[in-house]
Amino acid sequence: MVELSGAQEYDLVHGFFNAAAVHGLSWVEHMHRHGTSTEVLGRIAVQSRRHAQANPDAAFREPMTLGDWRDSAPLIWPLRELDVCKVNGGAAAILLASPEAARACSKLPIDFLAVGREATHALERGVQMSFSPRRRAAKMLYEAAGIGPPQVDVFFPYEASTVAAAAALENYGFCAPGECERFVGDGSRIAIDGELPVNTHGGHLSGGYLIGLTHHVELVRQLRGECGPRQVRDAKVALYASGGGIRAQFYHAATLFARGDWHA
Amino acid sequence: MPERTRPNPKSPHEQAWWDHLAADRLSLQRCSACGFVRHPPGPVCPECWSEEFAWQAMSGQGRVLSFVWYLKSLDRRFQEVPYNVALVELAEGPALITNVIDCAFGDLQVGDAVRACYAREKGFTALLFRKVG
Repeated sequence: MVELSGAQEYDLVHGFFNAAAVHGLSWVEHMHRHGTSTEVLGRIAVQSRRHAQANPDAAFREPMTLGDWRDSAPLIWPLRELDVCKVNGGAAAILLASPEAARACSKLPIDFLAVGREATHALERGVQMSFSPRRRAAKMLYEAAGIGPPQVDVFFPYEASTVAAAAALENYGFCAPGECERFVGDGSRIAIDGELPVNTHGGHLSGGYLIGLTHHVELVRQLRGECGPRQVRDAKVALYASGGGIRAQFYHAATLFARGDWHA
Repeated sequence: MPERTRPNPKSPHEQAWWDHLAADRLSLQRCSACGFVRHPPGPVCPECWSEEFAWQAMSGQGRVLSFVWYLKSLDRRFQEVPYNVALVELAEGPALITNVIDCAFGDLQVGDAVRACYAREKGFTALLFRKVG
């Protein structure tokens, strides 16, 4: 018999585990509140795969249709297998340096503009988990940078599942609360040549799960204009947003980046 | 039946929660300073940081805020699928992760009224819920 301590045991007694379960709870609540369907999740999964197909470093590059997503195995209802990222091997690295040192390097430096973060003990108050129309991390971030969502050229949400990407669109002000399904539409708006390209490397869903590191590698490459066929035209500002937690605490953090030669 | 993981309370507050359940009581800590009712149990109010509290019996009435169904077994202790995990808001305010038992896949909805029940497991009692009516 396994023994546990800490907040986890209040979950495991009930068989509640895996981030996809938290996202599932969030999405069922969203569907009830806003009348959304799971289809938007499929659109996000398919768009991630399209981006991965243009990325030689991506883990999952075979073609995927909305039908493939719909036919994938039910996992934790309402999520399917193709809604959830897989565990895979891989490696990525980021070099951090002072502005002086970065400017002495041969490549264009990428600047940190601002950071936003927050933590909340959510479940016991019955508030929304993955979704939050009053995301304090977003407010902190945009206020510190002096810009808003319209200035973001490319968006990198950390997505253990498709729900996290949908939530990030609302939480970081790219659409109103409840509007993620309408915003994503047929997926073209979050494509490389769309209004808001999302996870141009394929994200965790199709690019591979390296806990946000590949998001940062891609972000730097996009801002430097090194992405070839998947390059977002004139990308100057990028936003990375992560959220996590299960049980007693949820935390969100986001970072804004810009080309070293960019000024607001 | 799933092999529910036996809890291993590490503080008197955690122990008290399981002791209440073993006596078929759903009790939560209510902050004596600000009135906030908290879960999971702990020594400090997460709202006002007061260490003063009293255990308060809950009515056991609640409603489903959200739920998921595990349709594929992802853990050897929970091989019998489907089973649900629900977020239930108690009439008194706080919400808990639990299971709604005697309920088939497709029969659970957001907003469903539920009532607490107590299940004897190996060495402890689990708090579960059933649909009302």
